[in-house]
Amino acid sequence: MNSPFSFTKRLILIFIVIIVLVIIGREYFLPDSWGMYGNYRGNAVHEEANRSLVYGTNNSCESCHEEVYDMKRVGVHHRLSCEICHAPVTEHVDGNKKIADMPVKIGDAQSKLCLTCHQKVLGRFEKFPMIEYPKHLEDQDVKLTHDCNVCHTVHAPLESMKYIKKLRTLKEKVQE
Amino acid sequence: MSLLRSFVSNIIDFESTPKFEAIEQKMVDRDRRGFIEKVVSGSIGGSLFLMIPMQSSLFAEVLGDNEMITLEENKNKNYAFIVDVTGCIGCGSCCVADRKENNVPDGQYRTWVERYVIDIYDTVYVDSPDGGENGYSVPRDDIKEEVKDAFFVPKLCNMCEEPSCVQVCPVSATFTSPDNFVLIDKNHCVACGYCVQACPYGVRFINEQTKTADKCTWCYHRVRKGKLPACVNACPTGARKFGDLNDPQSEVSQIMDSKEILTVLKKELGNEPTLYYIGASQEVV
Repeated sequence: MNSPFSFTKRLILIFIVIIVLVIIGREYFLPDSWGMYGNYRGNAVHEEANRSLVYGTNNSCESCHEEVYDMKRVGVHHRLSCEICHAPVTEHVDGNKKIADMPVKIGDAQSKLCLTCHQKVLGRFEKFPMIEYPKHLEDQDVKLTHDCNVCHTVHAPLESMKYIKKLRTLKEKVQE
Repeated sequence: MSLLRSFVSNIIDFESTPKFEAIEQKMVDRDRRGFIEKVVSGSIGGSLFLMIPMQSSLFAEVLGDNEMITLEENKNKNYAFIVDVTGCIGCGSCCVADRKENNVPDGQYRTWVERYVIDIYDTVYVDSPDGGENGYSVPRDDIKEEVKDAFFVPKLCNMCEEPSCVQVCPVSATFTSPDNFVLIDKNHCVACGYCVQACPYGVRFINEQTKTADKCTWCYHRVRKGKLPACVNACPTGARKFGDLNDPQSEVSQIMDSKEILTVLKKELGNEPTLYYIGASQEVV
């Protein structure tokens, strides 16, 4: 007759086999860094953190284009990121070599770029300097073919206006 | 032309720009022996790199491997994102920057800008042509009534403290990192789309290129390198603000201490977002 505990021995054996299989399976199937910080692959955090940048900051532009940067610093556009009007710095330099020219917007492209912010649009708050585009040129009595840059040097738009206003008053006085 | 020239010379003070070569030359003349000794011993080697000012600084700026904030340091920071609805002009610069920074395919958005228009009968019109990426150049003619209020609301990941997207992921491919960023493990995601449905803010999508779930990470890779997220860097009016609440000098903690009324979206769901809005009206919340 079998001992009354023989079935427990078999049961324990089966449990041990299952536990060993689970341990081997975990070792085999789970990624190396699983559980480093929690129930996920820990290296995923480092992979995400090590992704390379596309946009730099204005400091990266300043290191070469100091003269434009100084001009921009005094104007109302001093807060703007250079790269939103031009292009990301990594499309322009790679390490310490220039790889491509930065796009400089002229003509219609320039007007379009300026107007993405300065066109009068429903929803923009009142204090923001906005114009109604073709009408603005008529109002200011200038040629309709003018780029924005003709009157407003784009890096410091209101600085040049000071001189233009002086010139206009001078012209009016002469005409009188 | 002379006007322009005088204008340029006015604002750029050529005399005051530092000339590294001249400074270096003076130093050599003064103490040539000491200089050579220092070069040999290596203590002055770094300053020689100033002779080529752009390369070394730009290298650090863009690649920035050496100034990485460690995970341990980052854990001590309590990041918050504040969006000022009253300051947004809906230019779409943030969306353009975001697309390039994170290589998001066309037609999908990690961040987008919505326009709310409310007429005098309190009917709310919401539109977001191309996610607001190309600005709002086309005028709205379909609103017949007088408009009472109109404003722009930028949307992005809310970085919830109790994220429902993490809860539902069956393979633990999305998780809250030790420094409290909700991230996606692209190598582990099976693109089942549960998280896309679970997110109450609709910021998740299945990326067409990588065929995995994708969402805004608050530019985790930039933050860890000490930079602002790409959209914050691009915002021309400063409507997007990002910073560390544990630093009392940061802009976000000063806003938190001020009398500004901050709201979070869908508070009743209990996701505890760390994205706050200034001036968001009840139609938005």
